[in-house]
Amino acid sequence: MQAKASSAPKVRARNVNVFYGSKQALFDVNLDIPDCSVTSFIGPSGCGKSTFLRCINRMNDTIDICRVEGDIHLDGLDIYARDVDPVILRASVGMVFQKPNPFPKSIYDNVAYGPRIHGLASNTDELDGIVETSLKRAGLWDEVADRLDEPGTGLSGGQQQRLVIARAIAVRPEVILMDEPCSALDPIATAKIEELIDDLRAHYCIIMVTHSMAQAARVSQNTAFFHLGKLVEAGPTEQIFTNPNDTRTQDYITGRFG
Amino acid sequence: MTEPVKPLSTKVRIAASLPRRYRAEQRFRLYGRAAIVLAISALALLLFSVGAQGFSAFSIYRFNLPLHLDAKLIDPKGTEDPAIIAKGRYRKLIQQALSDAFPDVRSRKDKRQLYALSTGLNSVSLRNRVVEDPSLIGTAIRYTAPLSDDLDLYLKGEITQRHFTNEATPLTIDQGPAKILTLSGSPDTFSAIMDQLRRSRHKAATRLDAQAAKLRENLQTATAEVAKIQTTRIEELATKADTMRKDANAATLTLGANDPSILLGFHKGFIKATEISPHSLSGKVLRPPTSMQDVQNWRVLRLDLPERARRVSDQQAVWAESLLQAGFLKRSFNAVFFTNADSREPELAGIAGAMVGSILTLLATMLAAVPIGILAAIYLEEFAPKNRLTDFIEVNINNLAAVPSIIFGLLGLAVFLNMFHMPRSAPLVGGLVLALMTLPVIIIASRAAIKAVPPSIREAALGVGASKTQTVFDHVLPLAAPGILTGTIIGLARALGETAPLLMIGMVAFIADIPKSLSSPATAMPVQIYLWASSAERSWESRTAAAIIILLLLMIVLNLTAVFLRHKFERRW
Repeated sequence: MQAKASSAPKVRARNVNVFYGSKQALFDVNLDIPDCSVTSFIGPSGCGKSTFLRCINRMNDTIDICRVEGDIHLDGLDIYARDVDPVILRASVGMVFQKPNPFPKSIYDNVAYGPRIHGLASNTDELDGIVETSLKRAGLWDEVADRLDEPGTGLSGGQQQRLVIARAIAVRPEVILMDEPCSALDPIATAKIEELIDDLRAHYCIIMVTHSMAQAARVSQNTAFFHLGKLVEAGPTEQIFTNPNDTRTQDYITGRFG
Repeated sequence: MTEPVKPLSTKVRIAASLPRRYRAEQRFRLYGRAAIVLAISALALLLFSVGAQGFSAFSIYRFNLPLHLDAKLIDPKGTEDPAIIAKGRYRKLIQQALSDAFPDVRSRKDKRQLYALSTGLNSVSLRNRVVEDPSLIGTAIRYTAPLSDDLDLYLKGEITQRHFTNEATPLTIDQGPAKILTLSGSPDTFSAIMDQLRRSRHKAATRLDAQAAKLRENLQTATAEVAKIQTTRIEELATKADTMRKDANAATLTLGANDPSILLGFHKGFIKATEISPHSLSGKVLRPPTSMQDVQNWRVLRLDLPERARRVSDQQAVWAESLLQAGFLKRSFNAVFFTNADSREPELAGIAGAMVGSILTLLATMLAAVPIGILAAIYLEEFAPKNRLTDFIEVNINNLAAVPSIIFGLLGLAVFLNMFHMPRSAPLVGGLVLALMTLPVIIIASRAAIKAVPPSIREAALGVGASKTQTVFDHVLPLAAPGILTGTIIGLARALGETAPLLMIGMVAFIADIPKSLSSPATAMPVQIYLWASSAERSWESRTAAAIIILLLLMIVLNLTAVFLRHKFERRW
């Protein structure tokens, strides 16, 4: 049983349908996502990959007209069950957005906000420790250690994005969702984030939406290709990029559409 | 290969249209500048006219008169009982002090005129002073109450210009019949004065001519009956003007009721000219001179407005001039205006009562409207489902913002006063009524501010597991705070300037005390301005303007606070 549990997928989606009002955005998505690895969602704009990503931490709940059908399990537990509180879920499924969105507060407060509201630290020393480890893990500590009380919004774009990742890590999530985390960054900052993602992979299940085929190929171990709200194909990245089963995947990867 | 032609023609077309576009832009800039210049000049005009009128109310002439606190009139038996001291005859004391300054005034009629220099209400402040410090009884003090408002206006030159001329030609004094003195000097001594008088008489005659000419114009359209009356009137005017011209050219001028007052001052006395020839002047004594010796230095005070057309008689003017010259009157900062509440006497009226009333009212408004308004805005914007009901509520809030304020006053009258029996004229009720009026403004401004917070901040907070409430209060509200504050302060500033609803709930009453609590009767600044503006006496005019200046200053302070707070709390993301 133990062996089976460890090889079981971290996130398991079955027959997921998502509607925005009367418009259906996702059609019967079935997908298993393994732990301690990076999974990329690729596909043309409007294909539903971000929608699916936001289903995993129930971010879509905040949109009134959005309705989710089907099952999504995290560690075998139905996250859409009636007794699951989205607040607890989001504490264990962190999220990083396309545009860096630090709070207009100090760097320290940005990272400490999550632990504070969840009561993860019993005293300031402990909180300091969490902030330090999180910033270190996000590879930002060396750059900001001496100016923790400066506003987080004063950092550069790449630094802000790493700050946001540190903020997500601080609440000790198991899964980190990243919605095009590098699309607003220059190549050097992108490289740093990619490096960071590769480091984080050892501890977290990372799910990433990206428009960059090269990035998906570089960073992720598994890739899922979405098209027109349907999951077309999913598998190990190498296989998807070198030997896709579906012609649509082939066409998209080779740049024939998208 | 035919394509290359097209870009060229596009370029040419663009170039051709460019001047027109630039002209349009320049025109627009010009309109903008013109609009701003117009707006600023309108504002400047307003401020200038208010400032010019209100300026004189900030200073006032006060007595600086020795006053003997006669024990016989305060506490004849020497009881030192505060109750008896409080019943002393202080008005009489003040009258005595004035009589001491002008011992020559004997007749009852003259005395009544003299005592009018200080309003009877001044006895109250004198009494308070003595009750507070009974050791003053029997001593001489300085009486420093404000001068009657009419005399104050006179001395400020607002009733008629005081034309003074100092002369240094020798004059001899001859005692004439009762109270008439004749001053004689070398020929031409009084020519200049006579010329002035002649000119003013000619001017008056010209005015009569103009009046007659206007009537004559109307004659053609008038009915026979009216025409008859008017013809007589025209003839009357013509004769009057003729006599006036004839009188003006006479060798000796006799001054009548329509002539300016010529007051001659010498040896600390004053006479009012009744007959002037180039070498001599006869006049009625208004204040007896200290000696009858020949005069070397004398002065002429000309008041162009005839005596019967003003509230200050020549006699009173002479007393005021004498007091001023003796140093018994001093012009100083009008502190009373800032420390007193309303009064029937303009010289004792102040805005302190209205100001405190306004502050208390605004406090009640703030306590009621701000929390309710902001919480309602947060709920509607962040938590309420978007459905027909909330749409309906939104429409109604917007409607409420446009309801005339007097309707809110009627509502307050019907609900707060008649249903809940809350006190009349109280800042509490005024504040609640204004709160109802301000609420929609605060809600609309706060909703706009909350809506302007970027959704990425909400997502960020939700993403780390903050609950909806935590998201709103930890992140959305601080970012919306500058906008909310601005909207709130603008709403409150509007409430501060509101009059109509306060009239309905009785805050328009005459209240002579500074309000002490939210439930004591009070009035507010704009209502006070309204009350004063509709009062008859001239002195209210400048006080109204001064109150407007204070109100404007209060508004400016409030709005500056709004700007300051916005800058202070503004954060970038």
